[in-house]
Amino acid sequence: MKIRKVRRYRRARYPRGTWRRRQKDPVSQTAKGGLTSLLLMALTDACDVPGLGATGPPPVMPEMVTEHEARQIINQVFVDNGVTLQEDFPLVFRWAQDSIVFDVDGYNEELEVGYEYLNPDYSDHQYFSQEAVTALNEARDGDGPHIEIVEPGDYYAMPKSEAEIEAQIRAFIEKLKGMGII
Amino acid sequence: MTLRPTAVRYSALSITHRCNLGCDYCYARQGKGVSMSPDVARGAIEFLAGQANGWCTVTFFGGEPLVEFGLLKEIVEGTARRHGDRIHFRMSTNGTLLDDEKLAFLRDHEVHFVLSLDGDEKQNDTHRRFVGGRGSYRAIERHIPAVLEANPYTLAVSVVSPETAGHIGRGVKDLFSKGFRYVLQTLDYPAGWNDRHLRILRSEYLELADFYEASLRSGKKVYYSPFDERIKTWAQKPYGKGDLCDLANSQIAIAPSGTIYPCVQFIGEDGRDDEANAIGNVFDGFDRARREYFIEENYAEKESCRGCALEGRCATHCGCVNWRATGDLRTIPPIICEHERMLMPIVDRMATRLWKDNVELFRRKFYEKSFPMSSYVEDCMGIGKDNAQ
Repeated sequence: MKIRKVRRYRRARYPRGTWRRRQKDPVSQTAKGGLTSLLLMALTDACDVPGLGATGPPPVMPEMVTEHEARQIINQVFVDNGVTLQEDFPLVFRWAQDSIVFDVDGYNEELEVGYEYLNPDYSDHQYFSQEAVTALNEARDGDGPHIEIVEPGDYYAMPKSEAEIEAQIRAFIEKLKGMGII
Repeated sequence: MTLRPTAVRYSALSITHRCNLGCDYCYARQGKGVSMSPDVARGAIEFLAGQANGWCTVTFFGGEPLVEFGLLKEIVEGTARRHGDRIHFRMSTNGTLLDDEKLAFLRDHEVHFVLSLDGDEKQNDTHRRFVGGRGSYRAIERHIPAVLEANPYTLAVSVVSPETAGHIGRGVKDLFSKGFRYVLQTLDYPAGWNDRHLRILRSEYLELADFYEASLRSGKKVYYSPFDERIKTWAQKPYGKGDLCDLANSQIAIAPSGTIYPCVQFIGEDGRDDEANAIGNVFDGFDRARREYFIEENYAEKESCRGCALEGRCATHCGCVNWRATGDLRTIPPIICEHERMLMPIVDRMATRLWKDNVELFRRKFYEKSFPMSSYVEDCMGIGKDNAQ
């Protein structure tokens, strides 16, 4: 047993600080909060993401694939290739000098195979330091765990399409097959 | 560093070393089996009244304080005469010596108490046995309805050891099913924990997370400290210095001899070997230098935690636990760190689900400052009584 500092931690996805109850009546909500509140509610509802209510996490831009949608796409590709993933699998990933505690968005414990979707709304990019990403990529291409990191945007921060995300995972699975892991 | 110790707000008053149980994990020692004399008891109360600067909460401790119920009564009644309601009393008891007379006295004088009870019979009796070896669960269980009738908010205090780690799921659920709404649980940190024990414990926490989540979703008010405290340090505010443990400062302990210690965990046998931990006595007052030494040591930044993302949310701030497990207030036992890194994600994932699903009780409990009062009013009015377990 050892004392290890947790460098980044992002499992708490509920708000910090005092939460104030939202007025349920849209008329008084508008009167108190102005048009902005209604627009935010409309945007959030338009996203149609389970669990995201007007009092939940901030809305995402409509043109970007949501994490929920991305997860569905990615999971389907894994299933198509005979790999079942467990959602939010808790993992302590250690490398030479450090460690990181996180829930892998999808993971098969037996094969040590999975993916992690970096959601900008939850500051995932800040959570995974460059050092951590490098270590994860080295493990992915080496002895494992083999975790593919999926960015929602490309190098220029342009949102990836559903097809691009699917293609990335298909390429990852082909690589795993080549390595004899699946 | 210039320190200005604060007023004493909480003091444990160990009125006896004697105990009718012989729990093998207990840090309190029976010493020479002595109890506090009435003179020392009076001296302790006068000392605290002088130090408190307004008010002070005194918790009867031991040994088992009900072994000296006569002295306890004398102290409570005498203090009420001399100091009115400036000094409040609480008690930590194993519950085995309770009877109608004692319960009536405690209720009438508002001496609220916490009940040391690890879980169900199997979990409790693994360690909490009478001196002769017989388990204590049955002796406590028969008093639970009366205890909860006198005070429905009575806290059950449970200790988890490596031997009982695999049983806390059943144990904690049993406590809630008995009617407790508040369960405070901590690990026996100095015990011989290893990775296997933690894996077992993790599995139990997952089971309890499901239970806790289902309870809140159905509107049942439950408090389980391993979960509640970690959610609070995120949703409300992280621990600051002295929040979790303020030993030797606003919190002290007084031994049967009248010697003052930083916390009950330092009393030991209250003999020569423990003198190094004393910070004064009730007749001569504080040894200021000793007191400040302990406060400084407790407040000192823990090098091993600097920069950790979980700092302010975990139990490493308790100098008493550190001292008991490692012999040093600043040195954290690895089990605390391993335990927190295992537990925190379990709690936060559950809390995130409750938040995202807009569970009313979760939001009220952790984000409404008026929740304790509004909840109490609801209880008094019988609202949600069926959900109060």
